[in-house]
Amino acid sequence: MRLRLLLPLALIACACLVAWNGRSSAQTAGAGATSADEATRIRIGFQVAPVPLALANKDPNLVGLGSYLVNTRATCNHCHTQPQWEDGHNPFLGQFPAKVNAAAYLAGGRPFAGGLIVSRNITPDAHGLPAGLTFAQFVHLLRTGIDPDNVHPQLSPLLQVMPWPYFRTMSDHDLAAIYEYLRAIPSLPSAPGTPP
Amino acid sequence: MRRKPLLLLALATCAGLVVLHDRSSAQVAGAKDDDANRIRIGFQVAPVPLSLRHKDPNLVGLGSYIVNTQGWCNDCHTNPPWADGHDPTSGQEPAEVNAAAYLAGGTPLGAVVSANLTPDDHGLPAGLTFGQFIHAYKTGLDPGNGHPQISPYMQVMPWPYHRLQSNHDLAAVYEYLRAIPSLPTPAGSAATRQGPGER
Repeated sequence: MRLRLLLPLALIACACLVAWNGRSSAQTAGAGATSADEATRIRIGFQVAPVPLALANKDPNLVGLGSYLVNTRATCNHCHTQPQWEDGHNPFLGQFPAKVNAAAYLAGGRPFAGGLIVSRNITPDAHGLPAGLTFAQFVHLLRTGIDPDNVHPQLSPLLQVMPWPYFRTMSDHDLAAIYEYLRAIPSLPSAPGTPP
Repeated sequence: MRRKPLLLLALATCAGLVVLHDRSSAQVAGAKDDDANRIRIGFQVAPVPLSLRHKDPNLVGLGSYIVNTQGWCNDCHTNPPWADGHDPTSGQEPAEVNAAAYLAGGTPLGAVVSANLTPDDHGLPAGLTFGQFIHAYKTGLDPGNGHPQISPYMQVMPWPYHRLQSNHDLAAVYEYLRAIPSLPTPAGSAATRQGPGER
C-alpha cells in the first residue's frame, strides 16, 4: 500500500522537474535577445540591400544578416562605392529618398590620402570569391589587418583606412554573414586605378 | 514486491526525460541567435568601466558590441582614437583605445567637429533623450544645428546607414552610451560641452 502511494507521488515530482526545467530554459533563451531580434535584422537586411541578391547555394539567413551588418552598421558602402549615392539621391544633401549607387555598389575606387590609397573592389570575382578572397583569407585579413596584396609597402603592410582594428573583434558568425552576403551581390569590374 | 521494480523504472524514465529535455533546450539556446555571444564580446571589448546600475546589462553588452566592433564610433568620436603607442594601424599591438577621451568627441573632420557622445550631467548620452537620439538617427537632422551655414543635416556621421538599424539595436547603442563614463569635450574649441550634434 505504501508503494502504491509512492509511485504516483514520484511521477508527479518528475513531471514538476520536467516542467521547471522547461521554464528555466525558456528564461535563458529570453535573456538578452530572442531569435525575434535576429529575424528582424535579417528582414531589414533583405529590405535594405540595394542590389539583386543571388541566393543559390547560399544560406539565406546569413545573407540577410550580412546585408544588415554591411548596409546599416558597418557602412561599407561609404568607402567601397564611388560615388556612394545615386545622382540626386544623396541623403547628406537632403535628397530623399536616399539611393545607394547600385551601379558601382562595393566595386571600390574611392581615393584616400590624396590617392595614395584606393578602396578595393569587394564584389565577387570570376570564381565567386568576394574581393578575390577565400573565406579563410577574408577572416585572416579582418583579424590581422595585413593587406593580402601589399599594395602600399612604402606606407605599411597593414590596411590604413579599413577599420579592421574594430571589425576584427566581431563574432565568427557575423564575419561569416558578411562574407555570405558579399558572395551574393553582383560581380562588378573595378574602377580604373583600383588595386587588385 | 512487484511494485518496487515498477517504481524504479518510472524514476529512471523520468530522469531520462529530464536529461533529454536539458539536451534539447541547450541546442535551442545554441541555435537561437548569436546575441549571447555578441553580448559576451561586448563586455570584453568595452575599453572603459561601465556603470550598470538601472540599466539592462544585456542591452549594454550588445550596445558595446555594436559600438566597438561594428559601428566603429571610436574612430571619429575619440580624439585621438588610440592610446599613445597602441595604434594598431601602425602595428603597435596590443591595440588600446584612448580610454581617457573615449567618445568625448572633438575630432576635426573637414568643416565639422565630432560630437561628445558621453552622458551629460543628467546621464543623457550626447545630451539627448532616447526620443531625441532616435530622431537624430532617423532624420539626420543635427540636434544642435551646429553648422547651419553648411547644412541642417549631419555631414560626417553615417546616419543614412545607421538609421536603418532595428529599434532594438538602436536601444542597445543608447543603453551602452548611458553606461560609459561622462567626459568633458576635449580642448581645441572649448573644454566644456557645447551642446549636442556636430558643430
